[in-house]
Amino acid sequence: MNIEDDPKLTAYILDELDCDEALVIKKKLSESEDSNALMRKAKECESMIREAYDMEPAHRMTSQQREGILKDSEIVAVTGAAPDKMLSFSDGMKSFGKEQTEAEVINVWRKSVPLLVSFSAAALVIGMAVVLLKYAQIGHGFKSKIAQEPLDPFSVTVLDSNAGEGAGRDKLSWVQRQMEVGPVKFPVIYRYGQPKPLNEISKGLVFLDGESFRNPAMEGQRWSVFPSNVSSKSYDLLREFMLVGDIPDGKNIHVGSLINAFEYDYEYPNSGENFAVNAEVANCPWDSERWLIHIGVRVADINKNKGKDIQLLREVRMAIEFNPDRVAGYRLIGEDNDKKLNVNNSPDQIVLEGQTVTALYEVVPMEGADFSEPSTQNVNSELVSVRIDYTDPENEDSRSLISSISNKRAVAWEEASEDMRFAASVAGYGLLLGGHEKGPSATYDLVLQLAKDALGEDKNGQRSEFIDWIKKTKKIKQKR
Amino acid sequence: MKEIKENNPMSASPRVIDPSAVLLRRALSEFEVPLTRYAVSILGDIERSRDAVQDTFIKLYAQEPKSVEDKLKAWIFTVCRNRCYDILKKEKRMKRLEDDKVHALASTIDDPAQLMARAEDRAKLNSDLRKLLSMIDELPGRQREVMRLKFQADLSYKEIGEALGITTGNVGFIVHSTFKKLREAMS
Repeated sequence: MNIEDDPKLTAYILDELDCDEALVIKKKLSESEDSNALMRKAKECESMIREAYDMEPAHRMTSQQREGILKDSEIVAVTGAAPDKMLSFSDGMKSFGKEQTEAEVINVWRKSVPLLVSFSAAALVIGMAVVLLKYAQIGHGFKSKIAQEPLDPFSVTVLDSNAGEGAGRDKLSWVQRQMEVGPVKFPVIYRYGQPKPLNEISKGLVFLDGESFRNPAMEGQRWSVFPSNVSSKSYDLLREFMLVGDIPDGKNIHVGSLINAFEYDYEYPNSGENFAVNAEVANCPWDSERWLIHIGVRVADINKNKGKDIQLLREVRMAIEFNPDRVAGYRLIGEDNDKKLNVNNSPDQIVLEGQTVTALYEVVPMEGADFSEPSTQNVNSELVSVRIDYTDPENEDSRSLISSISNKRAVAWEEASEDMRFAASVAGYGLLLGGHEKGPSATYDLVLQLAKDALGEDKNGQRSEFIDWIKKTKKIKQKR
Repeated sequence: MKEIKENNPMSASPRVIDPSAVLLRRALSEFEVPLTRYAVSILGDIERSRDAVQDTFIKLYAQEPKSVEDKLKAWIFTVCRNRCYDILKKEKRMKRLEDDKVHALASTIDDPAQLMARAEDRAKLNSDLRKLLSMIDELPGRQREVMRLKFQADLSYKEIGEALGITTGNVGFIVHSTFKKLREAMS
């Protein structure tokens, strides 16, 4: 039979065959002399047919009809009032970006004490609604969480789970904390030695390919605070635009909060612990000279564990210290360069049970650093350490949890966990949308590739939906 | 019913997500246009097509997500197609899609601006594409429907088979013969 008469050839051209069948056709084609011309003509014809169909007007429903459908189907089903004083990622940046005097800070704090009480109550209501709805979900066919083997190639060691009273902590700060009169001075204990005094010219920044990074060797740049409360505004905005086939202005999308709007499958803490720190280091997909550090914090399901009323962890502050022997420069993805959260004045925040917090750092590793033999005994073998301060709801003690991430060569990003690849995809996408002076050399194809194989369990369809958004955005951008 | 607090900054944190709503939105963003176009190709007018599409999405939201999400595309097109034929039946205007009946797509456009844009678009087309378009319009009913589902809505053979109630092999044969016919006519 002439190959042109074989329905399988058409199926092959239209990508309808499985691997084995496709191989048979390929072989047949290679035996035919003018197969190249045949294929070219067929492909041309295919795209012309598609083009012809595309000329039809893009019929859709009326907006009233669409609204009618969407009216009863909100994706998020949490009820309850929002506390006024909840700091979002960007709000936190804004209000604490400028330098404040200590008096100002205390003043602000005094004003917010009654609010603290009211938002704790509001959060309690929300928390209870969440728990109720969680039970309701089980009846809705939800699978329970399946614990996965951690893919983390870096050992995360908990070094100190109670550095509360005393333990190197400034006594005055502790008293302040007890009285709730103001944010506590971050106890400046440098794990990796004293930083150098700030140079007025470089301002503690290093430059690579025209982009600036913070230099952890310099005073004021050693620590980076990452927000534990993030808003879903950016995500909601993006979703609204995507539903009508448009893309929002990148300036209105906060990459850090976009990353945090997705669910991640981080490990839960061991019983008795309040936080678990999941960490990974991989090559930066869009720049071979950089690494990405992915910090994923999971708050314990407190209420379930203890069978009591919901208890919130208060005065939470999460920060990361970079080892200047290992890290030449870093930046928190989604953070504006001139608006760093100040370690001393960073807002204390509350976190909710089961919540996840994700921070992605782009890191320029130190040249000539020895990666061969990591030793967990030696502080100098560490890449970074993560510190979480909070007030224990049980006994009102101040606690610090310090986890260190030992220094090893970063894995190739293809080998990173699904959570990390997905977070990196959202980061790359957010940066590509614009609104950032120097975006990475990421492309939509790369971002798509990152997300595509990182669906995980995708219980709520969020990740698949995001993949659709990437494709859509690429198409829209191409047309412009 | 579910309540939602607008701009609730807490909603980023532990939240309960309604999988039916996620599925609905995904389906809306992906299939609203191809589905409406498809409905228009059967019903011949935009108003009734919109109703059929709306009914389809309402029906989707009522489904248990797990039961449809694996075969979403086929499900949506099947339900919409059935809905279209129901409408035709109900209005006693059931015209069997006989091989000699031709749909005049241009008559389904109700917006003058769209009509203008379409005319301009068409004018720009080279003669080959115009020829192809009229050939597609003149295809026998089943072939026209299969080709539209394949090349416009991008359904797989299997999905088309499910939507039309015919075998995958049959779909493959129809696509192949029609595609070949068009190709030969083009050269």
